Amino acid sequence: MAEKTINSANPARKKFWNLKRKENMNGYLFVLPWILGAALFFVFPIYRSLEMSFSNITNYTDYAVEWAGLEHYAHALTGDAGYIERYFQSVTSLIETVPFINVFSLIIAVMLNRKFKGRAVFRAIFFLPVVLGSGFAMYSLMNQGVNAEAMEAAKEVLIPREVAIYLGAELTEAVSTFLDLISNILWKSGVPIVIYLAGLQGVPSTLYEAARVDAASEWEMFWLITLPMITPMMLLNFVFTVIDSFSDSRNWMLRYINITSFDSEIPQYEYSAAMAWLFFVFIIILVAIIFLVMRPFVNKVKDN
Amino acid sequence: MQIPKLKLPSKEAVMRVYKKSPVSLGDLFVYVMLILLAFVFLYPFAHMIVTSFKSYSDIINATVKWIPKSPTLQNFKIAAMAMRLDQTVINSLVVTVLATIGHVFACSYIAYGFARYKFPLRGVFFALVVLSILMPVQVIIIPLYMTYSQFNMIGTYLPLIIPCFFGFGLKGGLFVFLYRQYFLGIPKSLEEAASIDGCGPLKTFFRIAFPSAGSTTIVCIVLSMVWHWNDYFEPQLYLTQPESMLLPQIVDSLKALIAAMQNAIMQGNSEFSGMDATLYHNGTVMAGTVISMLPPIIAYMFLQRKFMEGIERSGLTGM
Repeated sequence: MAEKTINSANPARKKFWNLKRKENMNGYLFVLPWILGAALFFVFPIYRSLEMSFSNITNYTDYAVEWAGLEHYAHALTGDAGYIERYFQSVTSLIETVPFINVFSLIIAVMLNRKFKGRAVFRAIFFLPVVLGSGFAMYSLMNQGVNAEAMEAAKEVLIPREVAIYLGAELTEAVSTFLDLISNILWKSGVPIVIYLAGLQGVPSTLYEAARVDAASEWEMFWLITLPMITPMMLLNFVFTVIDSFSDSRNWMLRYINITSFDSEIPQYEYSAAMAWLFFVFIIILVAIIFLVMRPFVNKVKDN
Repeated sequence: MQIPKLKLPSKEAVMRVYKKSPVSLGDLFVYVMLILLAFVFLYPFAHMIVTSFKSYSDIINATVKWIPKSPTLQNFKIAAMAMRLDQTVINSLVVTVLATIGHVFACSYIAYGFARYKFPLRGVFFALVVLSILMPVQVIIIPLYMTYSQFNMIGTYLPLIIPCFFGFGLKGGLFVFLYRQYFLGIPKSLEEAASIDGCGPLKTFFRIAFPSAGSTTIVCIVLSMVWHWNDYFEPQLYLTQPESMLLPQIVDSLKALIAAMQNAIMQGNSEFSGMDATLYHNGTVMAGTVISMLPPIIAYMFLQRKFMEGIERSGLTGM
């Protein structure tokens, strides 16, 4: 009865501004800037870039295009040896580095998570790549041969000449390749270390206490408690490292795409768009594979 | 029958078992590993810093390795002059600060809508946010460039700053994602209480939700600042005038800049009178690199602790 009176008081208003509509309006109120931004800086460029990759530019003042079908895609996959080569270059470097980055950052995070004196200092050191790792300065530093020079000296400290002679050339070579790899990987593992560390600190200490009561060793606790508990972080880190290495402008593939569109004498915008799209499809497939493979192992722990 | 008295171990014996030695074997292993890794990893860094203090005579002297015989600050002076540091640092600061402000406000605001309200197409929109995280900017850079040039924005800082205020820009999608994750994780009760007291959605966001997201905000500030400061690809496309260039672009052409300065001196340019003609060596290049790395390091030193706390609370751990 009471409800009915409210309804009849202003039926039009009730009909239009019902709860659902109000919630929708509020949602759009917050997301509106994003929708505008997406139209301007994301969806429209995507549309133009796709269109371009399937066409030829006929006029470079207003970028009028003419349909060309799969011409550019076909050229990238069959006619351009440089593209295929760089494709494999980026994939190989990815396969080489991503698992290493994850294993290393996990090991370092586990070590940094222990309580020991000087932990703050070590943390500060290993977080340095968060600040500098993406930096162009760091990149140019590595490029100016300082890194090679420094590695040479570091090797001499770690493997003195006398020992090197004793070990033999091959083993020394293997060790130094390993060191090179480590120094490169460490500079890329800033954010992964931080994410793993955050994950480790989220593992409830009661689990470890219970395990300790049952006389579990640290080693067993790592494999049976720590590792299963941080699987979500692992998935996150795998995806992050893949995207990070693919969206890095120093990536072989992206450098080639940049050169084609901006540095060559005749700008080949259409071709570079086609190459970029092929590359992007590949990224999506790779991330999807990582998700599908790792999903079943990811623990969903619901805390109460 | 008398119950035999249980013989308890002495207090000392118990303590002997439970008392930890000051440095356990595990700790020792951790120390050795961390020091080794830190060594390999910091070596180039240390090398750079030492080289930046070396004078030219120390550089060509092969016996001088770690301790410069005549340490000098001249390198920094030369590098700063060649890089037109006062101008460049202000440019970089303007872009970094404005873009970071844009990211923090826009991304938290947008993420709040995604986390708290249901509306048609929400799933599609959020899928687009994730897509924008995955997509390298190179895929859409040409149409983007054309859009900016239509609005006459090429050569200004606007293409680097404006998208940030719409939740895009350099990894903007990632920040929307982080904030959404945080807002999903906090209980609704506080906001509901506010709305019962007559607080509208905007006020609820600005007065309650956003202030509570402090830890996520720190994470976003640090990452956005660092990434913008270090970004090279987009600035290099939009900014071609030397006076508007950002720091990474200048570092990229550091060698050429110093070489040009040396030429000017050799030709007797009065601006640099009284300066040593051998400007161009490893020392000056390294000094320039050190300068460009200093601001993020200093900022990070102040924010490091909060940053780590923020990552722990940002909801990443509860994914």
